[in-house]
Amino acid sequence: MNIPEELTYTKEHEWVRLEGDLVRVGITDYAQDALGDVVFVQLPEAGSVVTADDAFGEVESTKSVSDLYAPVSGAVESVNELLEDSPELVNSDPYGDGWLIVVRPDDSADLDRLLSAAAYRSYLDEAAP
Amino acid sequence: MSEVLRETVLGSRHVALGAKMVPFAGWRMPIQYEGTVAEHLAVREACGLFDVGHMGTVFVRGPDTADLLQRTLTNDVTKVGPGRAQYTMLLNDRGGVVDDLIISHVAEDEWMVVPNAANVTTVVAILDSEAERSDGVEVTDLSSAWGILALQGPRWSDVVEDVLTDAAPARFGVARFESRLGQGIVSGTGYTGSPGIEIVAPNDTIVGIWDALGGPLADVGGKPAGLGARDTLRLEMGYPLHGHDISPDISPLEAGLGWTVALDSADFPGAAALRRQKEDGVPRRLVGLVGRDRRPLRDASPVLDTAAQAVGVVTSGGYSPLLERGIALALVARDAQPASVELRGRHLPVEVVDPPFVDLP
Repeated sequence: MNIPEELTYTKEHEWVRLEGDLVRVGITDYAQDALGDVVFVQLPEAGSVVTADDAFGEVESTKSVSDLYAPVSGAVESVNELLEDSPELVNSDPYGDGWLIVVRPDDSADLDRLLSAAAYRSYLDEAAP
Repeated sequence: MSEVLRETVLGSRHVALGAKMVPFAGWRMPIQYEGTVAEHLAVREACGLFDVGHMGTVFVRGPDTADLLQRTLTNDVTKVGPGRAQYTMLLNDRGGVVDDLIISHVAEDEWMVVPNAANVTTVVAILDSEAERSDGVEVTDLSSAWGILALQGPRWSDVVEDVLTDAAPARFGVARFESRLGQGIVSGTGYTGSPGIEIVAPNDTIVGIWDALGGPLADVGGKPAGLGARDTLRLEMGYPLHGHDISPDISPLEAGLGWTVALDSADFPGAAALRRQKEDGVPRRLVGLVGRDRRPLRDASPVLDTAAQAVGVVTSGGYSPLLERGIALALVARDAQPASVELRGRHLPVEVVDPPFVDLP
């Protein structure tokens, strides 16, 4: 299971990458593997607002649908337009070309609540059946 | 209460190939290896190899076998000579589908019946009780001792030719084979819509054939394929899945499977109910629905008409890798005009089509 050290994580299996004043958000390798083949991703419009812990979109695989939860509150700066025609990027490159949205956080304190790579890994180990 | 899941003889092979194993009809089966979409496309473009050993293998033998099958099943068995197979139904008295089956006329007085995994016990019990009313018909359930492989896709004959020589049945043809790996039965059947064969044999022979097919399969760009791809493939063709699109509460006439029902040939269970349905018109019909984008349609979603009134329900929802659209089979009121599917609070517009959803070359 790939869990890059430089990222932070949520218990909803999103990852967060700090990029200056912005954060880039995607789903983890664990999440994409559990979902199976992703065939559709519903994302918000650029310019809309997301709220920490609230659903901001959906990811649909051949077998199931899951909500996407915002790791931070803020304005959506950009969304990954590639996913409209190539949602499989979420499977093949979850930490790269399969990213979902870039958010400008309202409050950097939101970032302090996120899990380190080590904490996310032990969360997965505990949650495993 | 925890259910003990059965595994086919190939269980450890699947795990070694990295398959995701899931419970299905009392069995632990591979839902995918590399991924459902890749496996689906491999079947459409090259070849896929499926373990479908969870399905039943029941032999019915004896001089009165054809009579037994004729009075028990919906299709006309007199049309199936030795060396041919047929798709047919077992109904309850209400005309609902107890199981859909492939029967193979293996030899003069020998037939092989392949029920769905979940229905093996029910089908065998019915065949047993019919056999008691017959003279010299013997029912042998080899479901645990035998396995089934489905080799599906346009390159299937290139894959199998060096493994089972002369295993080249025509569509719905059936033949015995003998090979260095053992003996069995090969038929020109499958449930993917792509050309191919199914190989039915004792478990140890199945293992040998599975292993021997691996190299030739990879050589043509083929892949082992799981139940996930099997489901998207059959749905893309509009083939019904028992427990979803056909069931003890859905008749073959409602499901558009009238071609499997020979009402003039015998008085099988459910025949009277079907005759009444035919006179009165079926109350519901199974239709194909295509969404406007990639979002998969989902089982149990309400189907709405142009006035947003509920007129039916999705019985099999999913995603078509060839169309790159959400697709579904839905059971709707006879005269309804479906316009949308309600999914998580949204009304997704759909177009009604007559399956198959795709035209294969």
